[in-house]
Amino acid sequence: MKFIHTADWQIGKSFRQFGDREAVLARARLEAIESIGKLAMEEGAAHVLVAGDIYDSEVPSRQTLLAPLERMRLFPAVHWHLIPGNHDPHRPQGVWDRARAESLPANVHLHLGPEPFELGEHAVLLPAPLTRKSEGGDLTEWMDRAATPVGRARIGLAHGAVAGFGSGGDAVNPIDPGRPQRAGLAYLALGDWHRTMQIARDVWYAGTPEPDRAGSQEVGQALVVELAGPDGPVTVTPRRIGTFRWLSLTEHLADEAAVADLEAKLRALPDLSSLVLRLQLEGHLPLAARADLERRLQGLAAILFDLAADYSKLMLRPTVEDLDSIELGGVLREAADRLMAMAAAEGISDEDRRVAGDALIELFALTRDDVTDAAVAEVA
Amino acid sequence: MRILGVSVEGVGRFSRSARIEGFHDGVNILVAPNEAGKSTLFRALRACLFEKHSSKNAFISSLQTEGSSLPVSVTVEFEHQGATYRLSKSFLRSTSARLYQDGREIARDRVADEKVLELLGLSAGNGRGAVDDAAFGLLWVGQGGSFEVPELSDAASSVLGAAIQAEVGNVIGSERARSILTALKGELSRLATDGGKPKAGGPWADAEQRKRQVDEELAGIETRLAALDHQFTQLTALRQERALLSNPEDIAREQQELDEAQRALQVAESAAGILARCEADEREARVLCERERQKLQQFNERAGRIDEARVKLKAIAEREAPLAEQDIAARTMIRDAGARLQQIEAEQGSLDQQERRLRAMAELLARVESRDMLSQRHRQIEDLARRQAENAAALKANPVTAAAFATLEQYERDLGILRARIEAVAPRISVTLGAAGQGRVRLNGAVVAADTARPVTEILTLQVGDAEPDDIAAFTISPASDARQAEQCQAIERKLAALLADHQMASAADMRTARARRQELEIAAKSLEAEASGLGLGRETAPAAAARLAAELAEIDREMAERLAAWGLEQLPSRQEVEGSLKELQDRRDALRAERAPLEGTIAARNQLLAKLADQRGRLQGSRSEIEGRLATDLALLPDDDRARLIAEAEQACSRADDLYRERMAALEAQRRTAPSPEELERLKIRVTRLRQAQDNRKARLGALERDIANLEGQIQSAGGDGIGERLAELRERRELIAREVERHRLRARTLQLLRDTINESYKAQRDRLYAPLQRHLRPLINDVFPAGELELGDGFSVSALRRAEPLAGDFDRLSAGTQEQIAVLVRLAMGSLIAERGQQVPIVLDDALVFSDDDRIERMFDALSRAGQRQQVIILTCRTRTFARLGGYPLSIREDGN
Repeated sequence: MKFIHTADWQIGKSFRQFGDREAVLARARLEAIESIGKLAMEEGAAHVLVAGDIYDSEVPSRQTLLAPLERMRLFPAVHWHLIPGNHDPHRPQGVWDRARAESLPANVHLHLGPEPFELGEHAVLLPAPLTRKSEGGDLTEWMDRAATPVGRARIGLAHGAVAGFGSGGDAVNPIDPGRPQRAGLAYLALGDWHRTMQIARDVWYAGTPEPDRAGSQEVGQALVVELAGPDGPVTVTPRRIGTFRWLSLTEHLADEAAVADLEAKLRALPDLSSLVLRLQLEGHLPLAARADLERRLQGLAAILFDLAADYSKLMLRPTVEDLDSIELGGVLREAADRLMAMAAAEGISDEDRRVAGDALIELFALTRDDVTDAAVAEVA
Repeated sequence: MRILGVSVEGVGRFSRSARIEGFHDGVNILVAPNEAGKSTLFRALRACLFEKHSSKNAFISSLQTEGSSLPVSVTVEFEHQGATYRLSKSFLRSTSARLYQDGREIARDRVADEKVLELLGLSAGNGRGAVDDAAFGLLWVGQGGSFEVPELSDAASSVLGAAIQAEVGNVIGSERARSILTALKGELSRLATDGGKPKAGGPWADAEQRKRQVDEELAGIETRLAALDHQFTQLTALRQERALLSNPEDIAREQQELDEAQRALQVAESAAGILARCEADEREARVLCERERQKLQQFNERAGRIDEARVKLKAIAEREAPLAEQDIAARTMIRDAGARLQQIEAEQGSLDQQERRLRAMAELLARVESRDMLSQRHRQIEDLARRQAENAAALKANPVTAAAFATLEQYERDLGILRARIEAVAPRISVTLGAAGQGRVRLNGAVVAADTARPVTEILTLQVGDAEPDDIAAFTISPASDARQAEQCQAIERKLAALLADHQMASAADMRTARARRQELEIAAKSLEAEASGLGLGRETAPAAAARLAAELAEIDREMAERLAAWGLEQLPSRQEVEGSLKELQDRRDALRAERAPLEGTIAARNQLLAKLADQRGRLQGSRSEIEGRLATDLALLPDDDRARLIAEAEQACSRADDLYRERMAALEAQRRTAPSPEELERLKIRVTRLRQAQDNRKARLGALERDIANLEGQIQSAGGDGIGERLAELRERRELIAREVERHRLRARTLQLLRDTINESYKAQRDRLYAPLQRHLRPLINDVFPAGELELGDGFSVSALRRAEPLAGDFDRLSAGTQEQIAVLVRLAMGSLIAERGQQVPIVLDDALVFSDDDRIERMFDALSRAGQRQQVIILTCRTRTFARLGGYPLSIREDGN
């Protein structure tokens, strides 16, 4: 038997930091559902298990509420099994009661209570829906006692943090890692952790199909799970689903050459137009190289879907040439010397040092503009 | 350069040749009054050195002597770098220029113009511009120019800069720094205030404003979400409670408990009803038993009372008989004593009537006896009244009162005084009769009988001789009269005559007599008043008192006549007769009183006895009536004939009632042993009530829960459907973005401020280094005038502030005009000193400077000028002879041809 394991769609999530491109990311998350549906069709999987956090909020707008349901309706041959997560727990008159009040597609199954549900002739689903954002007890405990027909694989579906694993999920919602053994589960499909992760032999976090943050899932995925019977081996295959790639890089720069190398390295990355890059810069650069770096990154930003560079750990190391280019002597040179000393001074705050460095860069840029203006005037 | 001499002709007031003499190194001073031509000579010196000889500009034209046809001729002799020069120029007419070095001509005309500029290190400019563009423009200060701090032109700055550069090197970058500062300030002014706060309307403030707006909206959304979350929790709890309350097993168990409790209560209540009836029967039997016992007891008690009453009635009858006899005897005694008392009272009444008549007679006798005294007093008072009337009439007829008499005496005194005065100044006539003269001498017709002498106060006729017409002679003496005194005398005499006429007196002597008579009458009046007082009249007048007494006498007479008529007497008995009758009457009265007292005692004792007897008889009668009443009642209920039968029947009824009571008491005890206790019955009732209440409460709670759940569901549906969760996420993200933007602006503002401040500090440090050479020359000069003072220089060698030990320190612009001028002169001296130190000595010329300096300050300025004079030539032009006498230095003089 084959099924698709996915989780943490978080439909309705906001991406204001991307400004006009926010809608693109939001649309990508909905398109991921269609991609999952297509994957199920391709794989011949009749069931898609969604391990919670279908919605980002438990009070979404009606448009947001209907958007994923209508996309699931597009795949009538696929049965979608949804459980509430900590972002969208099932509470009276909450998001799931509202969903039920709509014309719910027949192929969409809401599992809002701990009740076994037969997945065809070979398996039984044991869902553990959340009814609160934060649950102190282990909601999968009931699986130990759940009676299922003999000869059917028992598949657990839950949302939370595996106790002792430290998944870093949003809520406590503990899950006993020994649950598969105690409850006789063939597979435990988990949600909450946005990165695809195998916790035990038959225990997996599916990860989000479309990433929403840096430092987590790089590319959205879903898991194709194949069971060879109630006690047979389980085969889990991660498959790419997401459109955008969220990449976090830390680069150490020491000279002009490193700046050029960095640009080359970044330009060599695939699918630049769908790349969301978070660049942490470290090291020391001369003023001229620092200005060059900014110029190059500005060019890259125009290609990438999004580029955010953090210069806070990139120190300045002005050269004599840098300072001479500001002024060989006189007022501005003295000011530059003072700022440079301040940027490297001890006994002042990091912010003061950073401000001094920025002021030096500003002075450098202004004198460059000044020189450029003078050159332009000369040519004119 | 050092000026050695200046000569002019055709310049200003110097139409003829004139020369300034006496130039030396150090301080030179030309003291001359106003209009002496000092400034003109100074201007001519400048024209000669810096103007082209061919120049005809307004400055040159202004030098020309008015109305003169001569050229403007100026010759300047100076020493420069070890050589002596003489420069002569003629302007406007016959123009020429000659330059001599050590007595030898080295240039002429245009070449001479340029050569001298070359010598002095000046470039050839356009006319006067060259003068102002160099150190001369800096150090040669015309009238009024000393008030301004030197503003350096490019050339002057170049000269000064060259001197400074030689010492501290070049200062570069100031223009770029200023340009960058301008750009920084421009951006900063859009971003932040001077205090580093977000500038209103700027991007930073705008971001802060947006952040606040988002915060506000976020707070609202979070509040709504918190409320929604609470409602979710509430709804869950309510639904759980409803599920618990709706549990069918619990409901069935509850109903079963209620049914069982109700059945147990029904059984218990039935047993309790039977018990209640038994108790009622027992109470009824007990009441009947007690009633029959009471009836029998009443019969027995009544029979006893009947017998006892009959014994008491017999005893009362025995006690009443002697009391009646005592009553009759007492009443007889009272009647006898009463008859005698009536006789005595009748006689006493007659005695009282007789006594009243006798006492009235005695009283009338006393009044008759007082009538004589009244009559005598009446006569005395009548006499007094008559005399008073006579005296009063005499007084009224005599008008000479004390006041009128005093007036008379006053007139006579005044008249005497006046006459004495007249006589004192009047001639006196003395007549000494001779032997033959007796009777033959007459004064105013009156014969002089004896020697006489008297004053002549009025025309006096002295006739000597026999009687007319045989007089020997007649002399008429007319005294010199004092008209005023005579008039006064006559006036008084007129008043005197009027006074006498008013009082109807013929003369003053009559008036004196009348006055004596009146005084006697007044004394008599006083005497009569004393007499009236002696008669005790008080304020009553004598006539009134006489009338009153007459009335009293008449009343006595009338009363006596009436009484005698009433008594039937013709005259009153004597007082002895009256008193004897009264004595007899009193004796009889005493005898009657002695007889009356025992009679009254007897009557009172018997009355008291009668009352006592009546009381005893009354009480006996009362007792008897009461006993008889009760006896009658008792006999009516228990007649003697039926007594035995009735008592026997009552005894039988009592026995029957006792039997019935015992029977019912046994039945009650038997029921009590089987029926539930009241406490148990109450417990069963309470249990049924409690179970019913619990059932009702559950139903009511379920109803309330349904309402609350429906209400909450409605609230959640209305609040949860508008996508506030997404809105919250969006706002949180937006807030984070704006917060980062605010932080960027803040850091940007800090960066720009730091860069601005750093450039400013660097600029100031550079400028301080640049000004160090000038400050080195300036410092001692400033110290001369402003001890411990320090001058702060700004851009372009401007003066920004004076810092000194004195309390008044501060910005240059706020200093007084005199202090500003002193500082400006000191700066020029320092600049000159700096330039001179670099080998470019230029004389300092001050024309009419330091006009506003006080005595102390100008002394200090003289010190500073003298200090400057040690290094270079200083030329002072002034009209203040006395003040500048203390400057010292070398005096200059103007020598004109012909002087």
